[in-house]
Amino acid sequence: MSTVAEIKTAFKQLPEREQWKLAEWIQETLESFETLDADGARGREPVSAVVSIVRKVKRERREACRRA
Amino acid sequence: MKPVAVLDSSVVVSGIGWRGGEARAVLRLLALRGFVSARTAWLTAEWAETVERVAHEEKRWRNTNWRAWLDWLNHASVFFKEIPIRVTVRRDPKDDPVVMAAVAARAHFIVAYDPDLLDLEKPCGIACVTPRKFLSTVRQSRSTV
Repeated sequence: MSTVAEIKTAFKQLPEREQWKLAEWIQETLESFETLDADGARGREPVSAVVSIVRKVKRERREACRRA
Repeated sequence: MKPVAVLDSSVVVSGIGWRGGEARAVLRLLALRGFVSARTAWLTAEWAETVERVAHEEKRWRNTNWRAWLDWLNHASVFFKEIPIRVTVRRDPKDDPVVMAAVAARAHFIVAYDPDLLDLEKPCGIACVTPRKFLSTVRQSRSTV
């Protein structure tokens, strides 16, 4: 894993065209989450209802795996 | 070093489905690269299946874009191969794959809402915590660095 300082140095050494490509990729990556973040119901999650369905799915998956 | 965490399906579903809770805050923190999310093949399939089921069964669900969310989460999470270990979650063996994923990834945290997982406290040295506890721990450790 490189440090931020190492990445910055490597970035500066890239040809200008490659720098633009990388910058665009970083921007797209961040924007994709910003767009997604507007999705979903307002307010907090109904934890007990969610946990109940999740437990059911986990059990079914485990049983299906055991049978297979 | 960034903390490594395995997100239980209860947190993934909640974070994708609802905007105002702590599970969404966990996903925001992941988008900001505040921690490393780990996944295995089993867990990835479980995330997809649980999100799809809750989207169909829960009347309060409002996210029609959930497939794009799963794609994003899969790309944002580091893939680990499952390792054959014998971990048994005595209270409920359905949670074994979650613990197994955390062991495979050498994770520091399992983030969950499910009391069956939270009651384990520290299986194999991995802290099982709620999203609230996870957020406060990560934020504290960042502010002290």
